[in-house]
Amino acid sequence: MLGTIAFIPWWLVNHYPTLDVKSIVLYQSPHFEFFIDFYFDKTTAVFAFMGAILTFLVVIFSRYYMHREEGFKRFFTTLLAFFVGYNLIVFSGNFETLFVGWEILGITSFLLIAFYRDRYLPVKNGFKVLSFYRLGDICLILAMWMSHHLWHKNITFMEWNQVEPVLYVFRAHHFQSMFISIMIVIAAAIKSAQLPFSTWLPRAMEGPTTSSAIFYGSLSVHIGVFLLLRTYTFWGNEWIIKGLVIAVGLLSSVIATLIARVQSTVKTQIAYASIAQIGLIFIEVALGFHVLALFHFAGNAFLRTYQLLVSPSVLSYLVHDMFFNFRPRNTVEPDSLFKKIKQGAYILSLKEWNFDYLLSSYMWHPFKWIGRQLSFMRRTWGLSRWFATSYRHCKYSIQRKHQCSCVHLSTHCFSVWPC
Amino acid sequence: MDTLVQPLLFRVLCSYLDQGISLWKFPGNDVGFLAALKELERNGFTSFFKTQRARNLLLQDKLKISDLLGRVVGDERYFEQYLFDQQFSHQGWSGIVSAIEDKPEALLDSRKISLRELIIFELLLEIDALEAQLGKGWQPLSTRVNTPPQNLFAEVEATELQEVFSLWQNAFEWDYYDAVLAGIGKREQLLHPATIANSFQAIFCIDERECSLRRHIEHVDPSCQTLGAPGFFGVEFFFQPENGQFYEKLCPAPVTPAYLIKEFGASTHRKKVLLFSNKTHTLLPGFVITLTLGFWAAVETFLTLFRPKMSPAISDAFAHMNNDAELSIENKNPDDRENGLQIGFTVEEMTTRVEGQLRGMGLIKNFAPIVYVIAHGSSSANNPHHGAHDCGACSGRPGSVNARVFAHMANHPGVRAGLKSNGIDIPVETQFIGGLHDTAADEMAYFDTRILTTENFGLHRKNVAAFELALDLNAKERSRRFASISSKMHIRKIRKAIKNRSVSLFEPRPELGHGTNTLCIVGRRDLTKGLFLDRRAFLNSYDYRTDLKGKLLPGIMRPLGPVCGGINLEYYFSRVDNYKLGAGTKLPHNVMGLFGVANSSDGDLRPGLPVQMIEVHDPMRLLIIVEHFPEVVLKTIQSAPEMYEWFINEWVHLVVLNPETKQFYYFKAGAFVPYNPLTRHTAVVQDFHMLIETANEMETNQIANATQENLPVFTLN
Repeated sequence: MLGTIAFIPWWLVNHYPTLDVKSIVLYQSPHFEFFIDFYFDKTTAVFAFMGAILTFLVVIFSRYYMHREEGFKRFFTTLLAFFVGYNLIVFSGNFETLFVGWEILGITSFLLIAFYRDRYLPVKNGFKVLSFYRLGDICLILAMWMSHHLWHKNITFMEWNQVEPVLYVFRAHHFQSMFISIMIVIAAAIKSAQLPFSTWLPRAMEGPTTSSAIFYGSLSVHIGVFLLLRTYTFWGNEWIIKGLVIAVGLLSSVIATLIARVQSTVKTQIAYASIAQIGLIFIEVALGFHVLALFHFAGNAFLRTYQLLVSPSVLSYLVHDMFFNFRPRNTVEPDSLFKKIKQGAYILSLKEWNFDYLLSSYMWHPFKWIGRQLSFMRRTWGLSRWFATSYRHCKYSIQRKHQCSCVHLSTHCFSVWPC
Repeated sequence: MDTLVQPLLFRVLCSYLDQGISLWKFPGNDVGFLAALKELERNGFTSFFKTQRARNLLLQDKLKISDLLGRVVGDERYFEQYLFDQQFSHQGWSGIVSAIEDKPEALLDSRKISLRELIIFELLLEIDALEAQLGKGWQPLSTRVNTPPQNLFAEVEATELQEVFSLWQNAFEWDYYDAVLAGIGKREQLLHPATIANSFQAIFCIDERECSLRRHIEHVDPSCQTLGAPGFFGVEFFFQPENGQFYEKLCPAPVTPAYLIKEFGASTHRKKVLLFSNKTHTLLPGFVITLTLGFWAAVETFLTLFRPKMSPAISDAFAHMNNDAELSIENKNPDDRENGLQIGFTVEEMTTRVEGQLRGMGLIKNFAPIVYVIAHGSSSANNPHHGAHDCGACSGRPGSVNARVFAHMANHPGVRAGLKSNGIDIPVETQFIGGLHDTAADEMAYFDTRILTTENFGLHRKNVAAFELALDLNAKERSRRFASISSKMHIRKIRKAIKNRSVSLFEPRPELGHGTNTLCIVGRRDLTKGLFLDRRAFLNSYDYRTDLKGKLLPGIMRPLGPVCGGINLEYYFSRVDNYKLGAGTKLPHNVMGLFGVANSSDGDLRPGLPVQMIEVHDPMRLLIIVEHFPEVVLKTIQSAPEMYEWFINEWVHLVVLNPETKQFYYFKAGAFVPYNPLTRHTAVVQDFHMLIETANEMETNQIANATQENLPVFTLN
């Protein structure tokens, strides 16, 4: 953290150049090079700065808050792992590096949601979030896979951000480029809890308040925004994609606001309010107002972190407020079409616009069906043990979403990978 | 089925009962739960249900639980057990619904709801879930059940295991009780003539957190006298702060007062915090706020971490009443009423209350120049359970108004005259002063000091200095149980650290509340003076010599069960099963609708106390020790069945100390049997500071470890 804070002024003094550092080559063949790469520009600067500040604040806060809590060390280890993953993402110079951080983020998210692992709901909701995240991961992997086809190499964000060549590639390989862009948008929408994937965010508020604050109030949910900003030069060429991002952002902000209005619990209210603001940030990114988006991100992250940290205070504050300012409600409105629409919208918002139900009918159920159809492979061909375990865990997490002890966790997390 | 039904059920319930979190209120929540649901179903173009069948059922008139059970369960013999299982799978929500049904005024913005309505709606949701999952034509659940239904009300068989548990529990309790009784017995032998207080007298709440402060103030100023009485000081009323839209009850919960005290002329008013405004949760105002106040939130977070200070978001014990505001204490015209309550007390009513209070404590002569009436409250930040830290005798609120009202009454010339004619002669020089002790911050405030005579004001300044020293010592004594404060630091630094705790948002243990409470001693202070009871004793002043026939005793003993015993059992049950009977750890708590906490968005409401409040507590029943003759006490407790049940059912233990023979008697199965303590020796401690600095600290909050933090009974020199 000190490193980040010290580095940023130096970088500002040097007229904020865009930096690219190629560090470790993991695999090399005559045709292909697989390497870890780092990159630094103003988006990275803002995200890294926010990450450092907020993590610092939350760690200090938690030092007292978590005192004598079972899993004290586990909490801080996970939090630090999260910080590493976050920094890997924001400093990454290519998709491969970003993906490593992305995975660490997903795993640590899951670990902190299921922090109270002896209770049913945290583990269940942990798996729910994990299954959403895996979907995002798959999209990202597909985007990477397609971009390997497109460029026949590990492309860095430095090259990706050169407008002319990218435009040329986009025009020449329209289908592949569209595919990559859509996958990126889906991954970003999932990670930032945009529609229709928004239901995981309020369910994620299972861990200690401090971890909810840093993950779901601020840093983790804004990673989708980061991904969009990082890849903007690529998909920004195409109005269809821009339109898609704007549509997702607009729908999310409007519907999430409606849902936020009916929430009667503090944390879920903050979660939906935050989703609505992130929807606006998506629109800003798509329209090219990147500086505004960065400011909006910083403001939203700070505000929601603070609100979540003080969320237990809301009780005494609002009860007092009510005590002094309560006004009984006016009389009944007359029946009208408007009232009908309003009451319908109320029920719909209370049911979170049925997104959970729709997703389970149109997404998870088909997945389950495919899974069942493929189960013959395991039975008859006796595929490698690795595949079998990974499949079983897949089934465990995505399909069943049942309570499970976290003993299998490490094997589980890595074995779900390839699916 | 629970996972399909409960999330929506809880969300609908919470929205219906919500007191002010959501921006969009439940439409039509003033007509009753089912009626409002019906109205919504009929009007809206969407439905709560997935299938038409459940929706049609809801819209029917005269829904009966048994009909719905017939559809879901089938066989009538299983109905009872099914309902039991269903409701106890979310005891928090069922509990609050039934509590609101019994007492709708428990919510400020009251709601009509009944357990019956909850069950009907839940059964409808279950029908809906079954229909959606299984399609039409599913069979009732009991068709697949082979085991015979259980009789829920069958006698529970006594087992050897239970006997063992009961033996353990008694051994655990009497191990401590015995040491206490030995300590008191020993003091009885060296009892010296009671000192006559000439500097001041101070009346505290019986609360066990004041036990240590009383010991310290007596140590700092040996010529003072301290007394204990339930913290509403015998004056029961509703209080309406200036601009308040509601009344607050300031007396024990079972009492319903007929008086109202209003505040007016306050100089300061509550401030608003923009960051708490619900505008931040809307779209466009939220957009503007995130871009502006969002950055202020960062500054706020920094400040709360590194410079914690009081703010309107923190519950402040001293803000309960405005010190400089006027109170409508005296009623001059009986027609002066509001909503069926008389505003203020008449002089006769005041006299009765002051006399009752003074006689109960045995304070009828030897008045010092100043008599302090010190209520207590607690300030804490980020703490939905803050009410549990305030005064139990004031319905979980700070007792500042009661202290001020009592002092005002006792200073009233008319009251003084009335008291004199009844035989209590308070000298003209004696003045009563109300005060408030913040048990979390260890700070004290005094009210209406401007009425003091010049002479008394000089004395008061000296006494305040003595109180400050006592508060320092008290803070030091408390610090030994806080891992983040070293008791070896300079005493002033400890005091500062203690104060900071009460305003720190990151501090889940601003204070430890009633944790460790185990004793309740009704008698003269001389029984326990100088005895180190480790802040575990409720101390109620009572002098048997002024009440040989025990006429006042029922009035004193009646509240002990519900107030002290109630507190004790709340801690007991939260401690023995924190998962089911307590609230678990408070860190993941989510505030639901301003009336409860749950662990997450879809969770059940949590009853009881969080682990942070009970980890220092040893699960022991309360031991009430009364200094009087056994036959008088027996007559007293048998005078009212609601009092007797506490003792005969052994919800609390009772020991009587015969003041003449110095013999202890233990109440067992309806009679008193002599008891002789086994402990022979009570250690004497010379150095209080040494004792606190070298005391054990628990390694973990597991009970076998935690109990080692308690100090034995000592005599302090």
